[in-house]
Parts: sequence; structure tokens; C-alpha cells
Amino acid sequence: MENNKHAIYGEGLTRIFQRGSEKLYALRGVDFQISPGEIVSIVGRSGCGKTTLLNMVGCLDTLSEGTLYIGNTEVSRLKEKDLIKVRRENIGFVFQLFYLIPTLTAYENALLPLLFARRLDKKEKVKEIFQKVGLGERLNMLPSELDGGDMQRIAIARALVNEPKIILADEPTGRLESKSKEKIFGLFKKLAEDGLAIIIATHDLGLASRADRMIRLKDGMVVN
Amino acid sequence: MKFILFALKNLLRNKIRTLLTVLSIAVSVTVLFSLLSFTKGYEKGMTSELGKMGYQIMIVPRGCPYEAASLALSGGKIPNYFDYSVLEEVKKIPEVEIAAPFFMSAIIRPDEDRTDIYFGMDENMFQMKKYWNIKGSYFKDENSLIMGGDAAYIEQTDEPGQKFYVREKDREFVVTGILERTGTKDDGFFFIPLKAAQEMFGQKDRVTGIAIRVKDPTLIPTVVEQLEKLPDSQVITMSQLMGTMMNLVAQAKTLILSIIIIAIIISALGALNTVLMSVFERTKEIGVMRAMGAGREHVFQLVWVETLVMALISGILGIGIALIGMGLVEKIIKKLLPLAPQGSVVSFDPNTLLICLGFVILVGLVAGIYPAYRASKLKPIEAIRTE
Amino acid sequence: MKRFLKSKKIILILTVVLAIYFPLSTFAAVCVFRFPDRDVYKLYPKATNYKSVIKKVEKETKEKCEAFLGKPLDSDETELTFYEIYKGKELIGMIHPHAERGEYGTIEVVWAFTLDGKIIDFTIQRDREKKGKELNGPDFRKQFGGKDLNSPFVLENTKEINTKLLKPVQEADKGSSAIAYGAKKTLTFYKYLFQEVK
Repeated sequence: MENNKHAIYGEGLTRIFQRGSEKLYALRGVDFQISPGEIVSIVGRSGCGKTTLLNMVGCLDTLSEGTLYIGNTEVSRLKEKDLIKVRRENIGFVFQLFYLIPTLTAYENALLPLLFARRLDKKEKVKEIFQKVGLGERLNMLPSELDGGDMQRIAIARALVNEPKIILADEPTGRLESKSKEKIFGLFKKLAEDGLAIIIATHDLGLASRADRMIRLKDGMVVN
Repeated sequence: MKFILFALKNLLRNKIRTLLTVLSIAVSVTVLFSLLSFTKGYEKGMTSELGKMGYQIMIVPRGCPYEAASLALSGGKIPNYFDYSVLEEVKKIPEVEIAAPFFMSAIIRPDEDRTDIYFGMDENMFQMKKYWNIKGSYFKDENSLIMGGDAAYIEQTDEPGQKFYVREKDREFVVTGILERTGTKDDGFFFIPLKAAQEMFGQKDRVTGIAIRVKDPTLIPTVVEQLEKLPDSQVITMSQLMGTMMNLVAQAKTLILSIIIIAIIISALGALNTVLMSVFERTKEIGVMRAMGAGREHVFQLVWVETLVMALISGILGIGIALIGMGLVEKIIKKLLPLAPQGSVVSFDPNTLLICLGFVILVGLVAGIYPAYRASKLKPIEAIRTE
Repeated sequence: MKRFLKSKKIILILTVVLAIYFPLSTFAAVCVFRFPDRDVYKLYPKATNYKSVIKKVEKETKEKCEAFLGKPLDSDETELTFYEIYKGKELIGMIHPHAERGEYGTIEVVWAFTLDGKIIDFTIQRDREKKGKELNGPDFRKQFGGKDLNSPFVLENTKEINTKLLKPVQEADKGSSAIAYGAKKTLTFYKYLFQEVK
């Protein structure tokens, strides 16, 4: 099968966790697609499978069943090593708790993915990205010196340095007050306009409803 | 930004914990470095001191060594004496260049808190003491005395011609020479003519021992063989003496070295624990790094480098402390070791430095493997999920 | 048996080494107080306690002492130890040990003096003098009692005893002079390190 149209194309995505003799279905047969430039939100209660789905499409976890393409690459059967490569080249992650390294400056934090990809030659780009996400000149500040909104901007900058095609955001605004929340969402919109596919998993229905498309999960299945 | 900088910054997160770990390794390294430097220096010191003796063989009367040891401890007296006939025998050996008889005895004055050692000698011995720098001259008559450098300092004697009196023996001497400090035990002795010493201690025509210089060092075994045939005598070669001393030191070294190795293993376990704890604390961060495209090898490398950097800093610190404390170690050793040579016993040697540094790096590498492995095994998904 | 012989030999070797390397007692021209627990109570029968006080001889003090003595200080006289003698809590006097060369070697004298710098008595802790016994005897010693720096018991600018004020021990002029000069030096140190210092 070819996947020219979609940034992600997933069919029958299933993830089973084994707990003793019991099988737990975190996802069962979810079909999921997203195109470049699209913002899709995933909503549902805790434990509904949101994060699992995000981890699946983010190549952080392997599928139990189903087929998944990231761009043109079928990733469902790939080994860990190749998954890292797919991840590095295609996907940027944004987390609710930012997970910045407290001892590194904003700039150094954003630089880390380049360090791992051995592409420090592109470090000039970081400044550009800082402008884009609205951090401007705050390159040399430590995360602890910044507020939540700015910390999330650093995390987004960090997600962007590898020039991914997809941004996966897990409750990106969960810890932010409404003004920052607004700004971050605005930033996502801008990124989508640049052609990135953006997936946001959230509890926040207000935020979710402003996405191009909303997927509701319940017990590991899509409901409409 | 380099990996190593990143690692360094990670270490600075919990400064106290890192500091304590670094200190514990550093202390072990300090002790290791000091010990190795000491052994090197001690060997050097002993060699140079024995070299300065100017003779290779000494013969002393055969006596009960136990009694001799106890007497020596309390006063430096060797109880038995040779008479001159032995000297004549020694002189007959063709390979002997010089045979110098000497008479050594001590006067102990506990109520004055001192022990004087009188060393009776003749020109033969004087010839062996080529390294002496004398202010003044060699003995002029039977009442002459040469003072060791320290002895002269204690007696505030700085000019030849000053007098010296041995109350116990009611004997007066005139100082003819004052020795510059030699760095050997000569510094503390009172040198008097052999005859005067024999008379003073009532042992006419008897000697405590004979120091022998052989024409060619390769002939020592031949001479020893012939000397051993002499009745009632014990032959001691300087290399034997040196060997015995070095053996004692080597035994002590083995003991201390094993204690240090244990200390280093313990501090390495401490380092392992520190890094492992910091890995657990950073589980989520590591997960995020993995999500951002870090491979297992990156995580492994990072944690390993952290341990290594810590070990390296400890090593440098430890050696630094050891270098600064060298003088102190020297003092302590000299206090503890009554047989220490008088020169420096602790010597700096670049090889020792490299050995210590290499060792601590090895410790860092080994201690880092497990935490690094654990960190690299963290699955990104699980790492992030722990909440 | 062989092993026994070997160990015997090692002990012998050690013996010789010990004989050669016998550690010497401490040396110093600046004199140490060798038997404080014996001599403090000999000089001060009423003493119950003592305390050492270490004084650095600064350049200025050194110059003053040398000017007063008319003789240079010894090169190692840079730090001096005095002993304060107590009866209960009351400070009753001072002790300072001092070494001078006599005729045959160093004489180490322990000086006892009052807080206002008057000699009480002394005792010799080490000497090599022929007349050591007499020098340390009561006849010579008692002449020093009550002397202070106002009395010229040492001839000015010399190390010679002033025979008009102190009668030297017979056949021991040099030893007597050394002791008298030691007294003067001790009191001089006391003056410039204690009395004329606030």
C-alpha cells in the first residue's frame, strides 16, 4: 500500500497489555489517519487509550496488531533501532510536564535532539525556531527562571529542531493558565499552517473542539 | 555543547551527593598515591644512604641476637667484641681493599633525656667517609673528637678547638672537626679515635665490628664466603641489609595496599550507587531523551561519561591533596618509622601519578557500566509513563 | 632449624640497623622543657598547675633584645615557650628554659622568676660541664635569688659574669658565665615579650 496523502496512516491499531493471565486492551482496532497541515485532537477519560495511541503513532511503543505508516514507512514491524530513526526524522514530542533538563539552558535543551542525531551543524536553526515559538532572545535562561508557558515553548522548540513532520502533544496545556494556553494553541495553528501534522491528546474539550478534527476514545475504541 | 559538558552539568545537580562521592574516591586515591610515592622514595633514600656508607660488607661478632636487639633498642650497644686477630685475618683476604675496624658504644642519661653514641674509628674508616665535609680537620691526637652535624647543633659547637667532656668516663676531648649534615645517622654521632673509644669503654684492643670495602663489587660473594669461615663472626652485606629493610617495607606495603584496594572498591560502589540513584531520579528525562531520538548508546554513553568524569575529578583531586600533603606524610612516616633514612622518604614520580590516574579511570569505567546499562535499558514509553 | 637460623640472622641485621639508626633525642638550641612534671614542682613547691605560653619574637622585639644585650640573638630564637605557674587559680610565677654553650657543651637551664622579673631559682636539666654538680649546687644557685635586670650581674655588652656581684664556681668560669648570661637573656625576653607588652 502506498501512503502519499497521509502523514500517519493507521489501521486496526491494537495494543494488548498482559497482566498475569489477564489481557488488557489499551487499544482495540483503532483506525487513525492524519494529513499534513491538519490538527487532530484526541479526547477521552483517563485510561481510555489516548496516551497509548499517542505512543503508538509516536513509535515509542510497538503494536500488538494492526498496520501503521509514518509517511511512507511501515513501522508496525520495525525493530527498536529503526524506530529510533523514524522517530528522529519524523516526530516531535511535547509533554504536559515539559520534561526539560533543569541544568541546561533553554538553548541547550532545544539543542539536545541535534546532539543525539549528531547534527550539531544545524544549531543555527535553534535561534530561528526560538523566534518562531516566541521565545525570542531568552536563549540562555534556565528553565527554572521561566514560567510554564515559556517552558512549554522550549519543549516545542525542542520538538521542532529535527524538522519533524508530525508533532505529538500529550496534554500540552494541562499545566498552563488560560492566557498561555491560548498562545500555545495559536502556535500549534501556526505550525499546522506550515504543513505539520499535529496530534493533541487532551482532557480539555474546549481546546479539543478547536482542532480540525476530534477523535473520541473510550475503552480503547473510537466512539462518535 | 559537548556530551562531557552535559554530563558535568548532570553531576552538578545534586552537588552535595556528588561532592561526597568525589571525596570518598579522592581520599582513597590520596592514600594510594602517597603510599606509592613513599615506597619509591623510601627505596631511593635507603639506597643512597647505604651507598654513602662507603663499604659493602660488615662483620660483627656472633652473639645472641635477641639480647643484642634489646640492648640496641635501649642504647645502641652491641655486647660482644672481636679482638684484633680477626682484623688481621680479614686483611689477609686479597680481594679486600679496606678493612676498617670500629668501636661503637652508647652512654645513656635518662635523667637528661639523652643517649650519646660514640663511634671509635681510624683512618681506614675515614677513607670510607669520602662524602664527609668537615669544618676543621681529622683527629689530631687521642683526645680529638669530630662531631656530627646535628650533635654539633645541639651542643652549640661551631668552631674547632671548643672542648667536650664525657662526665661518666671523666674524659675531655677537643673538637677538631664539625661535620656538615650528611643526611645519614652520622649526623648524630660523636666520632673519636678508635683507641680512645676502646680505652674509654674499657675494651682495649677490641672492636665492635669491621667494615669492609671490596676492590670490585662483583667480588663480594667471594669475600663473604671467606669471611664466613672466620670463627664467631656474622657477615652482613649492605645489600642484605637493604633487602631486609625493603622486605619489611614491602610486607607493610602489601597490607596497606590491600586495605586501599578495599577502600577504593567501596568508594567505587559508592560512585555506582550515586550514579544509579541519579539515573532513577531521571527516569522520565531519559525517556524524553529517547523520545527525542536518543539511542540506547547515547543514554549509555551519557551515564558512563558521568561516572568517568566523577572518577577523573576525584583522581585529580586526590593526587592534588597527596601532593600538597607530601610534607605531612613525610613527617608522619618519619615519626612512625624509626628506621627511616634521613633524606626525603616520599618522592614524586610521574609514573606513580599515571598509575593512580589510570587506576581511578578504570574504577570509573567499571563502576559506570551497570548504571549506564540500566539507564540504556529503560524503555522510553515506560520511562515517561511512571507517574 | 634452617628457618630459625634465618630469623636469627634477620634479627641480627635489624639489630645492627637499629644500632646504626638509633633515633636521636630531640635537639634544639632553643631549649625544650624536658621534665616539666619534675622541675616545676622542684622550683615551685607550692605550684599546683602550669600552662605553656608560646611567644613569637617579632623583628621589633628582636631588635630591642639585641640592643639591650649588646649581642645578637641565636638564629633559631624566633619562637619561645614560657610556662605560667599556678597555685590553684593564682598565677605565682614563670618558668623559661634556656640553653647556652658552656665550656664543654650546651648547658640547659630552667629558670624560675617572679611576675615582676626577679629570679627565684634555677635548675640545670642538661650539661656537659666538669663542674656540673657545683654549677647546679645551692651555693652557686642561691646567689641568683632576687636578681633582676637592674642588677648588672653580667658585664655590659659581653657574655661574661660580673664577678663583683656573683661568685663563679671555681674552675668553671665559662660555665658560670654561660649561666649568668642565660639569666640575663631570659629576663630580657620576659621584659620585651611580657612586661613591656600590653
